Amino acid sequence: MSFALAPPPFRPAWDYWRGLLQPGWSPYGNTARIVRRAAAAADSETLMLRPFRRLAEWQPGQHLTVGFELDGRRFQRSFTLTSLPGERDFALTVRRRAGGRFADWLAQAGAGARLQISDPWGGLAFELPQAPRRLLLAAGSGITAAMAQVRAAAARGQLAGLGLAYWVRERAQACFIEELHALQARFPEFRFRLFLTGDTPVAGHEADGRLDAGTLAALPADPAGAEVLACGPQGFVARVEALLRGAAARVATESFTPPLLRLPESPVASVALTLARSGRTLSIPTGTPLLAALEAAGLNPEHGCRAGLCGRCVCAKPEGVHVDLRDGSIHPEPSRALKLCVSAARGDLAIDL
Amino acid sequence: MNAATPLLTGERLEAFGAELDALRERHVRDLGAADARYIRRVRHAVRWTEVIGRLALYAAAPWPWLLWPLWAFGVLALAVSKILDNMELGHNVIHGQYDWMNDPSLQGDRFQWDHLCPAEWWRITHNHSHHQWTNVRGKDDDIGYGLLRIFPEQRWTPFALGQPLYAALLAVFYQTGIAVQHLKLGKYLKGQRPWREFWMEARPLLRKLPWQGGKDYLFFPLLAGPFFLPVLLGNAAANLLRNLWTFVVIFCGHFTRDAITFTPAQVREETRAGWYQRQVRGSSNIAGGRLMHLMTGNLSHQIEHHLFPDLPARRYAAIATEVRAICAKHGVPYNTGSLPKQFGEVVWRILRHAFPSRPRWVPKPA
Repeated sequence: MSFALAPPPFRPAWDYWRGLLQPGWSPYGNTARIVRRAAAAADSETLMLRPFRRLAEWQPGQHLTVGFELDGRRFQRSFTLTSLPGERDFALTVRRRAGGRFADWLAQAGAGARLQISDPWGGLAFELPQAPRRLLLAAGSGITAAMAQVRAAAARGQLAGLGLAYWVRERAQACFIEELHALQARFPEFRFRLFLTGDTPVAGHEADGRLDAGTLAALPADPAGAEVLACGPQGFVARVEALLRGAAARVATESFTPPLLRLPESPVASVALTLARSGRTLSIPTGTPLLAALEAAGLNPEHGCRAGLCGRCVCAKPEGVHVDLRDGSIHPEPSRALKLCVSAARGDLAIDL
Repeated sequence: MNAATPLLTGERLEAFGAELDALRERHVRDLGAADARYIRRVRHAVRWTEVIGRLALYAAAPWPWLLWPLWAFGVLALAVSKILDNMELGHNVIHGQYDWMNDPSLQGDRFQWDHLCPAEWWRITHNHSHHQWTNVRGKDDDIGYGLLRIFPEQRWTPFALGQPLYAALLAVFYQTGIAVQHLKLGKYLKGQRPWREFWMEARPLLRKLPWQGGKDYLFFPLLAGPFFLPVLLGNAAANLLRNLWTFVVIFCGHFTRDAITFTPAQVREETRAGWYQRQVRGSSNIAGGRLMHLMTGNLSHQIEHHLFPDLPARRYAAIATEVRAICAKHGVPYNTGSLPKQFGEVVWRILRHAFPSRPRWVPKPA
């Protein structure tokens, strides 16, 4: 029979004093300090960040999740790294959505403000070196993923056969325009076109209209046989898939949609509940407490009072929207402490169980 | 209004509960930066008072007979640190009062406190048994901790005659008492469970004991080298002060004259409103100023804490005004008084019910 000591009780004090001496140090992962901020467009800005510990090796197009505290609560948002790997500092270009939490945080962040940061993850990449053309399709803030590829290709001097189509509503919202012009001047083989959905095109590189069968001809490179990477809102990405799958040699897409907008429009009877630790996925009814739903599925998670009092059933919710049944409040943000006994799923949900 | 005031039932009870639900919701919506700032300040205070206390003990250790005021100051600072850590920080954080912050260092299910009781046991004995079954005889082990006869409804045995002594011992060793509460030692002592099982059950405690004991009674004293003893005694004195103070505060919470207990049958069909009423009728507050509220971890607002155990305790003072008004409106007794008055009533209960006694009345549903 083995007997191991509990973790030492000095930890909270150690964490406190070390954190005080080394403000960037955190027992819960890496942090980064904002060293420079520059406007990228009317409603976007580029943040240069200096990580406390060097980022693990990463590839252009990968994302980073940042944690920040607003009004006492920690939130997480994910952005695409827009600078090139290899440097200690890295750049994130972020859109300041009116009323957005990260925009609010940025508005009050002073010089040297700190963010909690994750390791780089996910991301799109070109995988077919033999493809004759490479096409990047970006809408809105999806430009960050496309720009990461453009910069990486430019750094290698491999812009031949690369086209970038970028959709924004108004001209003033477009990021990186000067840099893209400069690249075009240096590398005539690089093709770039800006599509405006709410402005009239004036310059030669501008066009108008949403992505549809009619605008396909206006794309900067012929998608037939090309490798296509697309990044933007869910609707945009779906249109890319519908239009180009089959014609292109490969279509890879990525979309970021806030959890609340991902919810089904009308309430549904059942949703998918993913149990992150055991790797199971269950179909559970909405509206019933998660604890009851799990028990109905034959599981027996630890619990106590079934009234939201004791906290014995709390578990983390990395993703999804839940409702607190005590007051009907809707919680779209990831949570570290969801009470299974008084929470119900509102949409698809992942919990750490 | 006192303990004999009849209990609300039916629609009147539900109306009372609805007002408290609305009060909770208002405060949940208002949670924010002020609460976060507050609990972090409390943590600063815990850490700094601990260092100040320990340094003062080391400074006084070589000449304790000369520098005894410094030694006493060190003891006091260390005791304040432990009291704040256990009550305003640990107890409240482990209740999940700050879970909404999503800050892993203030998260109820992983917080470590400077206390012998493993936090996972505390969530069972305190958060679950005591808070769900507050003052339900046979379900809430906090009624006398299986040791004391506090209410006449508890069965009298000659064992109770010694309870003033047991209570004094419990006060001195209160930390240990709380830490072993989960084990229900009585069952082993009476031979109802084999000791073999005790060693299995006690493992979380035994895993924590060397650290918790070694810290104050070995590690920090040894740092003083030859002046081991004054530091050891100082640490022991700080732990003793913490034990006595928490005993006083916690016993005032449910064992005053007008606090009542319930039978399991009474709560079988209990609604949320009924649960609220039981929390108010079974708990009692200590009147005082801000220092009193801070040093009791806001358990001076025991009633508010029992109504809303997962709301940040710093809000209880504001909530109390509203709870009092709601209670007055619905005719529910609200039990509060100065510390000497409330603790006097506790002492009287311990002395009185050491001897055979019978309930003078039974609160009836109105």
